[in-house]
Amino acid sequence: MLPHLRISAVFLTVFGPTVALCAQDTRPLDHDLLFVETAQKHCFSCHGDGHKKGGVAVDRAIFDRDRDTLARLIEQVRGDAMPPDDRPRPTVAEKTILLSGFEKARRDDSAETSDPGSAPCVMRRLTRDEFEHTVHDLFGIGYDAKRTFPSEATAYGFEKVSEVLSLAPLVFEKYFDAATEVSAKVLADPAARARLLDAAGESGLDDAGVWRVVEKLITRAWRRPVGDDEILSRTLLFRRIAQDERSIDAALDAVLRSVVLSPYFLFRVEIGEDVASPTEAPSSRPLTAHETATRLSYFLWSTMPDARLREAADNGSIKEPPVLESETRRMLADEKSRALADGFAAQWLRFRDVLTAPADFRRYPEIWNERLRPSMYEEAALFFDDIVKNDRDVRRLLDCDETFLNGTLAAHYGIKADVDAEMKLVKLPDRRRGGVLGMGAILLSTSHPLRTSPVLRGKWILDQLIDDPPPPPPANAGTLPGDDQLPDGLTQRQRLERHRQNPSCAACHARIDPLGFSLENYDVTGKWRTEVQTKPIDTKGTLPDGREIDGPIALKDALLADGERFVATLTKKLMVYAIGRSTESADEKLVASIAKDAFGNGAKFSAIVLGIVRSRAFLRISTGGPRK
Amino acid sequence: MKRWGELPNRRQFLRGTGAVLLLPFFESLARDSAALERRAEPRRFALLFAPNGMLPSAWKMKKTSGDLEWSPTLTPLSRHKKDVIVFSGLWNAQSSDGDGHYAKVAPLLSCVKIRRTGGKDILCGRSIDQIAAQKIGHLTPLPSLELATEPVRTMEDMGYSTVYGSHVSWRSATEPAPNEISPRLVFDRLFRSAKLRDEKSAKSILDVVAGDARSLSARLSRGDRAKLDEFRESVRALEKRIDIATERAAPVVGAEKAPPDGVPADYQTHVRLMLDLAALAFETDAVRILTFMFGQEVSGRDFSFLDGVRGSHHDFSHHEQNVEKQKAYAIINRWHIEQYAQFLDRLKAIRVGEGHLLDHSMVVFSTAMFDGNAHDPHDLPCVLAGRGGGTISPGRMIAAEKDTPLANLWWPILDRLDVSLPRFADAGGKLPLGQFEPSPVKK
Repeated sequence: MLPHLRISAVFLTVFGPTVALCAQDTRPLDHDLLFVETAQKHCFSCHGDGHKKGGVAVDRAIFDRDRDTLARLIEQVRGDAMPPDDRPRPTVAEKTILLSGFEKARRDDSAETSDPGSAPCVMRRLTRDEFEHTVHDLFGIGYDAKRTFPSEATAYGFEKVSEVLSLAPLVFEKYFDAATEVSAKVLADPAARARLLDAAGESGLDDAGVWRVVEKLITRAWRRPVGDDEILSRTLLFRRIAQDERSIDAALDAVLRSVVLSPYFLFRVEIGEDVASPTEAPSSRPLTAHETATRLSYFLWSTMPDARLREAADNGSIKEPPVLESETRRMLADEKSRALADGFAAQWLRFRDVLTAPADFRRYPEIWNERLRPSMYEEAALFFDDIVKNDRDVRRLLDCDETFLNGTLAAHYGIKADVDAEMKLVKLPDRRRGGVLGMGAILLSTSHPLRTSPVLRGKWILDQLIDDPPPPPPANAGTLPGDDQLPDGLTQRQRLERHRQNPSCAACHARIDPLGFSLENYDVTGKWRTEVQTKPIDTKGTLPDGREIDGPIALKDALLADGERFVATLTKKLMVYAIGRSTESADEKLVASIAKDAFGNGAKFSAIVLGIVRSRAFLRISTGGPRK
Repeated sequence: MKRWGELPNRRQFLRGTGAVLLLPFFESLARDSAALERRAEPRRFALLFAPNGMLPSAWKMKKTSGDLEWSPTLTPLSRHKKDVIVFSGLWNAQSSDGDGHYAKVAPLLSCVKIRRTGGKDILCGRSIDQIAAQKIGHLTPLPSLELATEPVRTMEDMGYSTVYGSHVSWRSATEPAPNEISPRLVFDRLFRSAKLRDEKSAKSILDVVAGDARSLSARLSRGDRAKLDEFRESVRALEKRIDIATERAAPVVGAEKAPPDGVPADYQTHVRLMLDLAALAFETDAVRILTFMFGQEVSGRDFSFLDGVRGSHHDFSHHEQNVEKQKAYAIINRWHIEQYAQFLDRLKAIRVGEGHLLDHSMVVFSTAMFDGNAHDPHDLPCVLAGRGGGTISPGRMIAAEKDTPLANLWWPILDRLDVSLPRFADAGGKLPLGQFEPSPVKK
């Protein structure tokens, strides 16, 4: 068979009968066939017709609807990384044809959905942070889950993504131990114990008293109204242990542990409303009032609903848009919304890495100061928290005339400020600090022990701030030396430029490096510097769109000029965090429209959050039925 | 007896196999005994994994005029020359076509290719330690132990989730076995059986919890039900542990042996404590299967505590043929082998009948690639120590034909853990680990 026809046959299944007709008829080529020919011309000599250089076969990717590979192809072609420089360049028109063809193949997937509510999301287990917070709010006692639990896996940058939250036997054993420890603490703490038992009332722990204690406990712990059979299971347990062990405390202990170990506590169970109205799409259904309140609470607070939110769930009002909005605003202003800084921002912007980033303490002795890293972390966390609590413009993250400093950090940055050990919001003398790009927490987290990394910093900006991740480097891309102070006297820029002479590296590094180089005035620990090894630092660079930048202030201006892109990136990341799954194509439209509205609304943080919590993606779950 | 290292006349090229060259380290292989095999002592399996490969020039055993000479990196093993088999020629085809590091770690013990993904849809294969644990794990208080020194990194790097590079043990194709990094928590976990036995209410609690899961399951969608099944399985696993603890005498280890709380700041102390615990776990038969990761793949650990090294492991692994960097890389490599050798010392110090615990063990040291500079998947640096209860004849080198599947090593090890599989991954045969086992080996 002629290669051309064979390929057309492969494409047939994707693009439908149009191609078939075109292949048989000699009617004018339509766009799909044009795509086939363009892909053949530019891709298949290495990645098709049986060739699969680098393990990539473009025809297979399209045939198999391999969305990951297609996404990479789109990145590569868009970024001019493919075809490589030693191959003929596609014209602008051909590039457009390739991109829209790949996009179409990627969208043409049976998992395609236009209802963001119908995207499957597996039941989420409480993360260890959520467990800690929930135990605190439920019983009024502290429990340090970080001491015993393994660190949580993340996906799409966040721990909250449901599918990677494992419950392997080891993890369950940890929960078993945790439940034991929590129960012992509750029973030993007079206040916590009294709170637990107050529902028993005058009569004490007789049958009716135990019933009331259990009912109150599991209603709160399981975050929903409970059935009599569920109360019964615990009262029976109480009675059995009380008899066997002849001890009320042993019986209470067993009940407490069984409540904490229950899947109703450890998972955020979401089943949805029972009744599906005939006008509703069958692919998704609304969450119940209690499920809505719980989602909201774990999104904004990483813990269980408080009394007021529970009431709004009990009377169903949380499902009314005005109440949903007022509750959301109340919760954002509440002290507990700090969880967004520690949970969301610290993972999104990666600044929680600052506490462990391996800077070389001989080259950078300031790292010895034990207050430095925590201060850096706090600067970033408080700065974000301030945006949340005071509902500020999120573009403050890109640039701002103030930041949080204490004495340690002010001295480190070389800023004269009237601060002591406490972190305080301080007006800045110039634009070198202010916004995340000038924060030690970010700069240290994106450095190597002995040198800064323009590549890591550039990639961090592409990934986290403008959602334009570069494709992964090819195998054996090579690495730069771990130290920037070597006898050869070369500058970082010279070393990296040598690396970029390799054409397969050049395309991506042209996007990454200028961003990173503009931050070269900050050393590994984020201190300001103007030279390395007596050589002045060159921070100049050209962005892919042709704009010249020089230094961090110009970089900030460039990012601010496309502020909507930043807002959209933040929205997308926050959406993943809120719904615990990756955003799919149906969500992409949603994210774009939330971001657009928020942007037009002063880019207020609450506008983004409200956009998310009002969305179908947030308020509905998949029925597992046919998706629409 | 001839001098160590000399190749005796009986060096043989096994005809008919066309694949394996057995190079005895020394003259006498006589110590094997059917007696050992008859003993009731159960077999143990451990894998010690080191990240970032090995410098080939410092690893390879050289043959000079008939003598087999310990290479600089492997020299610490010379004191165990009668107890180890050094392999060459093995590779894991299933890890060869992914870029970089991550695609090589997760498949190490499964020989199953992973899915390239940065996120949720992780897919690889079940590792041999977990396969064995699922078969014989019920015989010990803990089915298996997964030890490491670094908290799991989970991010996307090079298009792969770093989860792949942080786990050699996989419970299933989609689920890594979580690593324990705190020595104290390992200790508590290993020796808690006595506590569990005294806990009369534990079973009743788990009963009630299992009841919750049952009633919930009926109301869930398919995906959620799978998640809940994982939960139910874990509840059952704990119930089983309680049963074991009640049925038979649990190992009792004095609290004075418990390591301090937390994760030691000093890496060398950390590794020593973990390997002490591994030996203790084997000694007390609290577990028979374990894996230990010195570090995660791409670990940038600062090895400046070693003389002649100033910088990070991963950086030196990309030595770019620079002699200075290669030197530092080799020093780091050798340090890992020294820790392995010390672990073997510990096992040999534990008397079992006429011999010692290593006689009844199979302790593998391996990396997931050879030269870290090239991410080279060929000729994996791999050593097996121990006699597997008399079923293995160590004291030699097994030079397999180039690109012999690594699965050819795992398969006969599984046999010795009482897991007999009709086939295993891409194995074409079984490496002749026993002295009189000239079974045909196909690639």
